[in-house]
Amino acid sequence: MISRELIAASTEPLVLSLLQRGENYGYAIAEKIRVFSKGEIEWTEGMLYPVLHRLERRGLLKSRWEAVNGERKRRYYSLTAKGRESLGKRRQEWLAVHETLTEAWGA
Amino acid sequence: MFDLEQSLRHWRQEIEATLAFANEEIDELEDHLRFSFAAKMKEGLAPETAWSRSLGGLGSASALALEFAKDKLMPALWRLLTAWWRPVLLLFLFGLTFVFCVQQGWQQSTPGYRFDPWVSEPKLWGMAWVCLVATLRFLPDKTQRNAVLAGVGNAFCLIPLLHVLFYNALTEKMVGSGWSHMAASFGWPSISLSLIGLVVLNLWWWKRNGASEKFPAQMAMAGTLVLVLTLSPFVGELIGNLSIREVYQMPTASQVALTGEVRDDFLKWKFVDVLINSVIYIANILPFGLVLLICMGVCGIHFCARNRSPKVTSDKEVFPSSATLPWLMTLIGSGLWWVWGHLVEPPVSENIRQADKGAAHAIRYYGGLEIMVLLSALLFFVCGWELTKKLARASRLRPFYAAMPVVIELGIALALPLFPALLEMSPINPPPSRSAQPEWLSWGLGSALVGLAGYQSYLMAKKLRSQAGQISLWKFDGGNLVELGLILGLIFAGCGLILYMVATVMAFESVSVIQAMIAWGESIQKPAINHFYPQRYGTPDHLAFWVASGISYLSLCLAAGLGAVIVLSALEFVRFNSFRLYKLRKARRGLAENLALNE
Repeated sequence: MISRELIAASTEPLVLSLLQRGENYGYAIAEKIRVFSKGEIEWTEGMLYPVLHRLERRGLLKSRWEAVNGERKRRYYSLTAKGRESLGKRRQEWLAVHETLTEAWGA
Repeated sequence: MFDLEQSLRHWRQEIEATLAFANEEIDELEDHLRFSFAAKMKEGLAPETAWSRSLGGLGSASALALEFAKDKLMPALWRLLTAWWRPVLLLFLFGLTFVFCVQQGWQQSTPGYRFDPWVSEPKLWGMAWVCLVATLRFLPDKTQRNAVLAGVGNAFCLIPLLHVLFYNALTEKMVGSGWSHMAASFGWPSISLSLIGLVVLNLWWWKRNGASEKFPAQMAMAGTLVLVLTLSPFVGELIGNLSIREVYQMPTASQVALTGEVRDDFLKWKFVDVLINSVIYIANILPFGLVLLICMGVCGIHFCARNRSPKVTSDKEVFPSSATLPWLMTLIGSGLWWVWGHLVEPPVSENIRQADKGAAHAIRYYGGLEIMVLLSALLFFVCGWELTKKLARASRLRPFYAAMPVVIELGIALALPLFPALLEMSPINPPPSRSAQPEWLSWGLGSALVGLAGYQSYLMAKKLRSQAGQISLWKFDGGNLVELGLILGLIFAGCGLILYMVATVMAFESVSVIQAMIAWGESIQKPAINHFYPQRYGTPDHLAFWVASGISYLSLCLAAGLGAVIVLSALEFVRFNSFRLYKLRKARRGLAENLALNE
């Protein structure tokens, strides 16, 4: 089980990475995180939405509503150019941490 | 049989009640729940189990509310500011105008008046600090600790405010000078400290420490302390409080004709004493108990109806509901006091006509006030709760914070006609000439007030017009008992104001009787009776008495309202938790059945 601090730190890059593959909605993002982590990342799903909204406010994501089944509507999120840029930076950071740890453990 | 739509509706109500979410955010969460439920059904779970697991996965309403609210603190402060700037400005202008209206006369009458702003505040603040630290040490749970700290802190910030008001209202300095002078300069350091404390605690501290969900508990605790401290005769005695008993005794004493025969007069006095105690119980405690019982009754009936017959839970209109009940109570309460006032008024009005000019004005405007209170009660009755909810949704603030600015603005607009009375009610005989104030100031402030009040009335009218068409759509949603408590507090304040006006009008007349009583008390050397009057009402200063007893009475009403919050918070707590227990048991039963089936 991954610690809460690490989950909190990795949520934003995870969300950005998943949305890089294309536009998606909240439940599907949460589900993908669960599948990709093979159940290791366990969290309260509702907490994903404040993160999505925060990223949108910061201009890293944009969202649109689409009608489904007549009355109901669903909110789809996608990455903006700024989001892509931010993801690039985050990727570098996480890879650097990963390499450092691998190096340390290998030695 | 599990009904997903009904469960979703209940869940939505629970989420909406936290007021932390925009509608779109709830839609999004609902979409998530639907998906999650469908996925769990596909896994072969029973509907009840699938539902409870989906709910568990999404997180509880309060946890979600806290998480969603975290990012909204600055916007929330901004919303609070935009909702409150008008009433605050109005209150400031109103106070300033009032002070200027009366101050000139007071200053002329009391040369050499000096005030001491540091009454005994440091002691109180020191005590507050020790209590806060002590509480912090003894409570292990962080949430509990935060809630208690905020509650106690609130109380201790409120008490110095009350203390300054009470203490100064009845000291000789006050009687010999004027309260407008005091309002303009007296005790600002203490008042500022208290206000800063309140702002820091409520807008910053407990939000930052995640205790925002505990607001009712904080208010309840603050209320308990304020209630105990202001009503306790010992504390009241120490801080120079004017107790409610004495406020009532004054007017009734005026009806007692003394003969000088000690035994006879003593019996009469005992009669007054018993009568007053009865009035206090009947006027304050009985209506409160009745209102509470009726509210509980209505809630109980709705609860039973909801559980027994699913038809009642459909979104059809139920009227009057527990949500409209407070406004109904306002109307009934005001009406009853109005009738009572008229029954009591005639015997004393003849005497009052003989009394000074101030009393004559008071009685004239008292009639106007009754009508204004009735009108505002009617207004709130027609659109109050719906308007509150609408304001709360539009501004995304808690209902109390959203509705209070409107109530204050409305109150000020309604109080404007009282200005001529205030001008006339200076203690100077003859009253100060109006030319004593700079003319531009009167005109400027007056026009600003009238303009703002007019603008506000226009906004209110617009809101009301859009509201009128929707009255038929009212529906019962269970209400929120804590809000009900706050509204009850307002009702008490309203009723209290009317009752207090009656007492005041009678008290204007009663000074001579009280002086006779003082002489009589001294002559028979009864310390119990002597105790009341010589020090307190030695100087027949009408305005000082008026203000002092008014503050005392209104704070009692506030305390009674907060008392209502305490009781209703407890009820809300029980209701909410019993609902949660019920859900938990149901979920467990579902799980057990599911396991049994699988085996």
